[in-house]
Amino acid sequence: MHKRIAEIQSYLQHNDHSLAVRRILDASLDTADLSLLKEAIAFSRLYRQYKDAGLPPAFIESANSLLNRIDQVAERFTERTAPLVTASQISKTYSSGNFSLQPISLQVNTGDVLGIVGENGNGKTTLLRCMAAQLALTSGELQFAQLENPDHYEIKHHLAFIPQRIPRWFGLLKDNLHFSAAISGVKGEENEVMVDFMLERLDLTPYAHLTWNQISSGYRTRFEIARILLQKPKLLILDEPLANLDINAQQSILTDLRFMAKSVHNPMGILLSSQQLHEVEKIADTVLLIKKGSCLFRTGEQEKTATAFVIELETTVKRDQLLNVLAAEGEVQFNGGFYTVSSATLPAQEMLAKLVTAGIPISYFRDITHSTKRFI
Amino acid sequence: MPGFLKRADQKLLLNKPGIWSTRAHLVVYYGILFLFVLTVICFLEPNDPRDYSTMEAWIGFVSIVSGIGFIVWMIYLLRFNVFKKYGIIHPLHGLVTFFLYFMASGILVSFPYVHPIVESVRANNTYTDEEIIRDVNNINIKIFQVEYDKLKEPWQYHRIQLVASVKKEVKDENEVDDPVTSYIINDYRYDSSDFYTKINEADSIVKVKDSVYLVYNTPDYSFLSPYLYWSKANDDLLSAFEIFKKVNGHPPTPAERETITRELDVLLKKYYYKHSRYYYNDETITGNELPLEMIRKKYRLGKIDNSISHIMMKKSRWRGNDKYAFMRVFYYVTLGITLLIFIFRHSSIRTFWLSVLTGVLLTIITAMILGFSRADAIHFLSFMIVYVLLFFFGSLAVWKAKRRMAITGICINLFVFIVTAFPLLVYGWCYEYKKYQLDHDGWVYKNLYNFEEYVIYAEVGGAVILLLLLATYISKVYRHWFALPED
Repeated sequence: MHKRIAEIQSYLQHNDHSLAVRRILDASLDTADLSLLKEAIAFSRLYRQYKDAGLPPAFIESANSLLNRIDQVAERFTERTAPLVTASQISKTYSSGNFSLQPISLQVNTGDVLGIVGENGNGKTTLLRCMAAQLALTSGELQFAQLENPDHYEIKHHLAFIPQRIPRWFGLLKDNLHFSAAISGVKGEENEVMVDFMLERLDLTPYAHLTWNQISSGYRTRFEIARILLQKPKLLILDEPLANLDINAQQSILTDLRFMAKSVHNPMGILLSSQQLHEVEKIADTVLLIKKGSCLFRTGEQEKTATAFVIELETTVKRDQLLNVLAAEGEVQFNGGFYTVSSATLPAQEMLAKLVTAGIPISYFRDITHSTKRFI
Repeated sequence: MPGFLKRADQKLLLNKPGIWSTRAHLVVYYGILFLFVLTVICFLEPNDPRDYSTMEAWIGFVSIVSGIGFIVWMIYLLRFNVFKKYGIIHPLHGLVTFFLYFMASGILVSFPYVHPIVESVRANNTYTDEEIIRDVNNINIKIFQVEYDKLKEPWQYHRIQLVASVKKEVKDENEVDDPVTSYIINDYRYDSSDFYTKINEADSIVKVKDSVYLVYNTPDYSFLSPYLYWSKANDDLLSAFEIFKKVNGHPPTPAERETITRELDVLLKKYYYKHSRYYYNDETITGNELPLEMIRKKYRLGKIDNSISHIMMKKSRWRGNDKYAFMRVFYYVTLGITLLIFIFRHSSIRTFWLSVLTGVLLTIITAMILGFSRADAIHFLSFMIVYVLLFFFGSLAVWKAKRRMAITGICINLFVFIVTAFPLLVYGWCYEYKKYQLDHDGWVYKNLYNFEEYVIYAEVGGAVILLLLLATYISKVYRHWFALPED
């Protein structure tokens, strides 16, 4: 049995039904078999129908039956990584001269998720728009490995950019999805199935027949993601996609994006910016911290992370007590909400052990030694 | 939306998004439906062919409906755009969408044409040309026959005299002996060319001497003389002299006169429309009228003239030059709207409005330059040709551009808008230049070919050039320009 199938079965056994259904949908899409995909969509609808009232025993049976059939063609689950875009020392200075993005180099491959974090007004959106070929570069160049002598139209068809403020949609949401799929070459029955799949996959089916004004901003983001994914871009660029989502939706969308990037059906690279450092760090292969137009730090650069161990801590005790527990082995900073404790000698786990042993009440703890958070 | 249309709409959405997004299929369906309903309503309108045309009011009203139709179409059309979403587009996408926009615009522009066409059809169905001409001639002859006795009066005449030179001639009062001085109405002197023309064209002449003739004018026996709008019909009407010739010498007997009166009555009733708003409404006979005036009042010929003129106007609307004028208005309005839609769909909103502004400013500046420099048509046409070339070369700059600039977009937009007129401008320029040369050389214009004769070739050429450019250059240049990164 393929490990993906085994993983899904484990979700089912542990009653992680929602996750299992999403993974079954992904797996059926990767088989590139339209009939299996239709079955998976029907299965997902069955789940939605019964999830509140209690799932019937037939649900598990049909899940297993579907998984078995998917498993028979599991040899198709072959992930391939290929370079997508290489940015070499790209920089941008606006004609008004009020902001400059300093030269940055980066590469995105299929399956990669690259996060860009930083405070407002530091160049995240400029970098993304440069990568999306929306802004003319002042210097440097972009190379799209999978396109031969492309013109800009081809480049823009090759990638998709979702801005923070999503442009308004007109007409029925479902028509918009059909249209987006159709203009990317997904025609006829495949178009219908793919739209149904995307609606199920992003849990949007109940809203498909509504209009833009009838859904919340969070759902608008999800519909925009669905629309863009139906266009099968090779590089997906999202500017602050989490801004309008609730905490659960943030986590769910990020995980979904992670899986979609590695999809066999349409593997793609994802470039996203966000203020939610921890959430992004959890799913991104690489995170870039942009400050004042320069790349201050990118995860994986060990030489920059090795100088000290750093944790974030939320507790009701005073700073003096913390310092006493750390016994001069750490420095404590307080930003009004939580403490940032750094230590050249104590790794995070040892700091935590000391605090717990000393009876310090801890309501939040996070090791940010390797996180971009240290630099903000 | 009916079921079949919904299915067709869905099928287009899933398979032909480029066509679906134009919404031309919806405009065609609802447009044809509206045309059908409008046609039925126009046929049901209680509008007698003999009455005044109500065309103007209908055109005004239906134009508003057309305007509303355009707004609704725009609301749907502007929702989806394959081009601006960087979808997969066929090389002929531009040509196909242009054709669909033209078709949809054409249907909406055609709404105001329905009533004039229906009026024409109704008039043509009710009266044939031959019937009207026959009836008008018969009415004139019959009135003459019935009123024969009252019309035996001496004819008016004028005297014409052959002179060596009109300018040098000094009038000699004793030269001609007037036989009936009371009816002489004028005395003319002509050189040899005009003199013999007058003699040849005269209904009746009396030679006084070799160089002096009396030319008699046939009294206006064409009692009914409606304006027939169509030269061929006018040619077939009997002239006053022909009517005179038919009746003169064969006065009807009293018995015949009775029959003729009855027949005349039937004919007059056929064309008499009692609700006619004839402005010359005084048909009361006072006894002081001259014979011809009395006859017109007696038979109420003013109203009948009006009725026949109305019928002929409605019938002749789609004949000769009028037909081409209507077609040209339709073609150019549809083309203008289509081009504006096409440009808007392929340009950024900002650049589109900047193009409109540039077009308006250039028009004003050009008009001022031409006005202040007292320029003529050839200068205006030269300006326009230079503009087309400038816009074209401006649009070429896009291939070297690294970023999307408004100025290049404006050049492309204005070039697309004006290129159809290019052959017309060149033809007009050549015509004016030829005219200028002939004028300069002291030639008369009759040696110049008729402008109208070849203008259709320039118009067709313009359309062909536009279509060829849409298939080859315009789509590509828009694709390249629109996708360029911004500053």
